[in-house]
Amino acid sequence: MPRPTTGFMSDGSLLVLISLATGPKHGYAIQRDVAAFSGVDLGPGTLYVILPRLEREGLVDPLPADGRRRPYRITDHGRSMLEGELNQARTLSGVGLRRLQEAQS
Amino acid sequence: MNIILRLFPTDWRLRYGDEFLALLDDQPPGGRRWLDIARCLVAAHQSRSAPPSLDPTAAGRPLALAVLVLAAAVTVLGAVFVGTASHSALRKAGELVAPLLVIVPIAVTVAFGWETRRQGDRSLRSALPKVMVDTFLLSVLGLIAVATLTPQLGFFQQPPWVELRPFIDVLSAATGVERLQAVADIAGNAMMFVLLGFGLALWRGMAGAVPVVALGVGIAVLIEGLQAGLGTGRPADSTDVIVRALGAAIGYGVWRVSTIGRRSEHHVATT
Repeated sequence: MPRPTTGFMSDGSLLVLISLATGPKHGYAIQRDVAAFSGVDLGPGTLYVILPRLEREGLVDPLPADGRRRPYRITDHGRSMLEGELNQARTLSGVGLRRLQEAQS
Repeated sequence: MNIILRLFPTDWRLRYGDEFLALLDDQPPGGRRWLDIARCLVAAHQSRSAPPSLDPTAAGRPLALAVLVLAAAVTVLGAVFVGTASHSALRKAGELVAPLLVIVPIAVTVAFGWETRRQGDRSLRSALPKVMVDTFLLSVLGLIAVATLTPQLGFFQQPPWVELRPFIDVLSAATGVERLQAVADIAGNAMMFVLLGFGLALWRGMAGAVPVVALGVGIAVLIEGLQAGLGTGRPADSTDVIVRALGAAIGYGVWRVSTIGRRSEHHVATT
């Protein structure tokens, strides 16, 4: 069982980590990717609240800048955190959906 | 857009500024964005821990270290000079005051560095290079004061006079030894003002060569006035002013060469 979530994943961090799971991306690429798979419009300011925090927590690493844009890469620690969060989310959604069905029948 | 960045903390701006501006350039403009950016601004100011530096060799740490070593060397030179001085009433007074001119600045830097280590304070640490520059400058000024204003032996009863003929000591030297002595005086003067020019450039180099050299010449003239006025047995000599002006210019040039390639970086840090 993954450790209980502390809530730090609730602000879009999860979306950013999911986006980086397919490979390093710079800010604008993350925005477009997140919008494509989730429909969430992450503003530039929101993204640069999230990225510095993920960097401080060792979940993502900055890569050398490509022109002015700087790509970020998910770390091994970030990968295992993401996996834990997603597993817990799956458990919760399984429990929640089953209870909804039981209540209806 | 650059104006927005000025509102962010310096650490944040240096680390994320460029990439953040690049990201903003990619955005369609709109009112909602401003709220979003404002949220980021608040978060950047709230986050207590400083962002990790991408390049730990930046921030001129080697330069700061070099300055400290130079300052220490200047202090030792000053102490040796004072230690070898002979007796006379004014010289005695100089012996008391001169060491303070070089020792106090060094003590301040050491105390500051110790305090920085103890507190682990980031803003204190980032101020250290500036303190070292101030110390270096004070030490050089102290050395110059010691070397030029302590009274000349044997010339005590002589009234103050002004020597306008440049390089007269070298040109009119009667013996080879006297000539060598005069050349050594000139070389020493030049070297002290190379140090001073370098220190002034570190201190206010961004202002350009003219203010730095002009300040050096101003100090040189002041010293000559004091030498004559204080009855040190030395003339107000035009040679010294010429040599010191050259020295200060060379010192500025050394600083200028040493900052090539670092200029753009420095600019980012000061804007």
